[in-house]
Amino acid sequence: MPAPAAARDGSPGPNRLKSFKNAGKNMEEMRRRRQETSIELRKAKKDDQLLKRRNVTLDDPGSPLQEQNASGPALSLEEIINGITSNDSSTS
Amino acid sequence: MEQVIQILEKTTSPDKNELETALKYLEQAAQSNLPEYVKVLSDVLHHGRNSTVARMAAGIQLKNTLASNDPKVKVQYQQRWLAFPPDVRDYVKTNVLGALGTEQNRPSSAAQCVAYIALTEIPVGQWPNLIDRLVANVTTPGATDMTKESTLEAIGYICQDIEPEAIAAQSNNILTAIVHGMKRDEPNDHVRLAATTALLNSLEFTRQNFERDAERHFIMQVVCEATQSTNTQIKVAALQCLVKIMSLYYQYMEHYMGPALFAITLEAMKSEIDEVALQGIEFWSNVCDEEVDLAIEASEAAELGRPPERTSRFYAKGALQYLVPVLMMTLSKQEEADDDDEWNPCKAAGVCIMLLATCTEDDIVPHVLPFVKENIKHQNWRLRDAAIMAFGSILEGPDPTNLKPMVEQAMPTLIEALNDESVVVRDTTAWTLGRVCELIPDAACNDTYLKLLLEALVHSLKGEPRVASNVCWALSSLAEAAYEQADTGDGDGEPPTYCLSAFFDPLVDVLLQTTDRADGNQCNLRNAAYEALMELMKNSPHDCYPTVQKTTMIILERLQQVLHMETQVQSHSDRVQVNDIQSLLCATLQSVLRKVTPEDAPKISDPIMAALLQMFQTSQGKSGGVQEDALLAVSTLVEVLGQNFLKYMEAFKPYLCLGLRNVDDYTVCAAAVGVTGDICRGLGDKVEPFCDELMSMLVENLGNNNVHRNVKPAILSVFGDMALALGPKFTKYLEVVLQMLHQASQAQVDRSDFDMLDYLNELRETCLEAYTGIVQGLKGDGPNPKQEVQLLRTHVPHMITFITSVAADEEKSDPVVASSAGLIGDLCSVFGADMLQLVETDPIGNLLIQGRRSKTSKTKTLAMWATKEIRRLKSNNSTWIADKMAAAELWWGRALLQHEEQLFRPSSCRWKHWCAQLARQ
Repeated sequence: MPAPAAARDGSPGPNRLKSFKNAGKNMEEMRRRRQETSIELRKAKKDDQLLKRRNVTLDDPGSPLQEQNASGPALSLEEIINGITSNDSSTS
Repeated sequence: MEQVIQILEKTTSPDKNELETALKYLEQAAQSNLPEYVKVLSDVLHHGRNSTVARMAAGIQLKNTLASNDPKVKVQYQQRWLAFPPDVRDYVKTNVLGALGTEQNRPSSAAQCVAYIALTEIPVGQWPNLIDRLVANVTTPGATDMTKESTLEAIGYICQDIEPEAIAAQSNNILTAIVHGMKRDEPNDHVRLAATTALLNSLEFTRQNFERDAERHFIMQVVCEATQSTNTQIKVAALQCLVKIMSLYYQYMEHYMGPALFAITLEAMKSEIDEVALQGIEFWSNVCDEEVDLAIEASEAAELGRPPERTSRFYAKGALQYLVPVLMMTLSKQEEADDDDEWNPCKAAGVCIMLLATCTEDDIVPHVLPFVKENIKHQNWRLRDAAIMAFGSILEGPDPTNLKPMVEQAMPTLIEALNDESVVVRDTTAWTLGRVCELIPDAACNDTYLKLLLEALVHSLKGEPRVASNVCWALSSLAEAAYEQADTGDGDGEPPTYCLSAFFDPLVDVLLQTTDRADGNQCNLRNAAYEALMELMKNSPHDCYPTVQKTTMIILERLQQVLHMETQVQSHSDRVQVNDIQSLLCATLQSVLRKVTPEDAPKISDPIMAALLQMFQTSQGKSGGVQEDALLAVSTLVEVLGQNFLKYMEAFKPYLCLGLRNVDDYTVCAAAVGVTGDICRGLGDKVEPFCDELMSMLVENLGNNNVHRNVKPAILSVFGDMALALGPKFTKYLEVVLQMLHQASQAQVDRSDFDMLDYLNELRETCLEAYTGIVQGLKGDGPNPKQEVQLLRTHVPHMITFITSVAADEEKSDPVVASSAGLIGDLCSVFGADMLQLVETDPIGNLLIQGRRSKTSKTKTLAMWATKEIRRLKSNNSTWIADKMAAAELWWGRALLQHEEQLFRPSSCRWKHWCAQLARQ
């Protein structure tokens, strides 16, 4: 894939210049970033709104309701059922 | 004919009247009989007896009948040409081809004409023998230099602009001619240069030639030889070829890097000639770009447990010890005057070091640090500046923990250097300190250095614009870093205070002063100062709120003042400055409005809205940038006011509509669409009276092919917002919207284009959001779904078909998975057991597996929830069993899924036993 910096005729100037010190932070660029921030905030608000309506809380990384990786060990039927019944006995 | 020649000569007349008369005559001739006119022009171009001026002018006029900067006009012109009778076109083509090599001027006008006709005819399969003719022009023994040169120029123009597919079949032929002209033993430099330029333009479609070893070797040999030419232009063009080859064909370069490319490019970097040095540096910057991409690919592939498609050869790492010293030397060849727009080897070297740091990470530090230590206090300002530049350039890439001690050590020197006698050094130091604040913030935001740093920075704000500007960006980074570091105590609310609290007021004051500087339009200073102010406002803790309030009033005052200035604007540059100030004030408003409390907002919203409305009025048809920023400001006002915004709708609506109808300036249109969504969300069902008008404009835009495609996903998203806001009242728009969604959900794109794949994902994501909003809206937010949602029943199969096709797409993005899962869950919870047969399919099952394994918590949560909703349906709405089963399944993961079938087989005794146990509890 062609590098983003090179223009059609091979001159690198205008795109590389944006990376020099703070040259890239012109009005258009900063305005574009403001638009992006706005979009992200909107998305976050919408997501919150929907989570509330669905009565769902965001998954907490430490919870036991975790999907294990595909590469986790395969368990035999015995082990699984033992696991479930032992869970039951611990809660009963 | 004589007359035409004279008229053509007059088109170069310095006498304005003569010129205008001549052009008018030609225009008339063109209008009365274009085919004849074009034939005559080609005659003038062709005949050697005619004056050079006339021939050149004829060439230009002829070219202009086929060329335009406006792509739509160009297509029209091309269609017009193709509609000429074949004998006319043949006549002209014979003439222009025949003119190649007969002209006295350089560059060849005939070459351009041949090219523009070729660009029109070849893609539609006409002029099939042109390339052969051109190649023969070059390769036939005894061909004159002029013929070869102008032919190669024509080939160059064609290669530059033609669609690669149209010419790929001819690539062998073309390369033959090019290489023939580029060879080392070609004595004529003009020919060689034209050939080298043509090669540069042909690199994209000669892929299959590069894939064949023998051909590639030959091309590389010819290019490398050309880099050794004593003619600078040829040398530069050949180096440009190497740069491009490196990015296009990285994986084939191993054979050449050691023996040739390394030495050639290193030599180039050392050249006294700027254009040559620039290419040498650009080569290695490109290598870094490629290798960084390859590193990302490698880590993504590792996560998926498979080998990457391409691998890095770590050329940058290998060459580091040779590159860095040369780059350090180049860094010390600064221009004294600061020309913002100029690109030169010194700047290129700085950027290259930054790229090397990102690419080679910790490896670069031991090569750069000695130079820094040795020169940071050198008596020659060039070496001091180079040292500080190098230091600032390596702060991203290497491990911050390794950098931190050395940065802390350097702080006193850097702070001192803000007062260096050389303005260049002060400029670079300000930038470097900005990098420190951004990348190694702990070195700045600590008790030892913070106060000293701030004092020095504030002092430098009074200096030259180039210095003050970089200081402002440094303060921006500092504000962000300080807030990030602040202790939020018991959660993620606003922190009560932070390390800048004691300095907040004076900082705001001095920044406001800086924005008022008369020289603020230099070096982007005013922009930088307002941005720093914005960052301070955005990233402010609780104890700075009174100052935020005060600053809001100051900004409002300034807004009112600058609106008064509208009448005084005279020159173009005044206009630009006033527009910029208006934009920046709106932008600053956005950041303070996000901090203002819902209690305070209504107290200031009247004057703010009044000022914004006035701004819309004065900027209509003039500055899209101002309108965008004003629309974003309205967005934030809506966010903070909620339903209190209702009273402004009547006055605001006309401007919102103008924004939505702005087809020319799509970013303004997109901003207006965004505000529409915000208004739906903020006003809730109170948006109803305005929806007819808004909806009709949104629908119109969707159907309008002149509207930029980026606006369409935003519009789909707003459908969802409106449905959520209106609830059951949305039914009047249902059919129309569902129709548009139906269409949008079936969109296809050119899958070889990464940008288009991104676009497709966005389009699908927003489609799903729209469906979600409609389902949720019609369902209502009570415990039982409202009856209006049944209107969707007949569309459910299509929604599922859509989700299924999305699920099957390997390039689907994570947000698309999330939105799909959310919609699945919603449909299940609304339509109940009927959904089971639709969602219990492999594609959807796999989609949810993928979602449950996502690294994004939103996607994971929604996928788990959707899975749970499906389970719930399966067990006849028994929540307890459903939860238990869901917990078990998720706990034991994939293993359970594999055994699912067995587990649920009634014949398993264990299963019966377990069910009995559960039933007892």
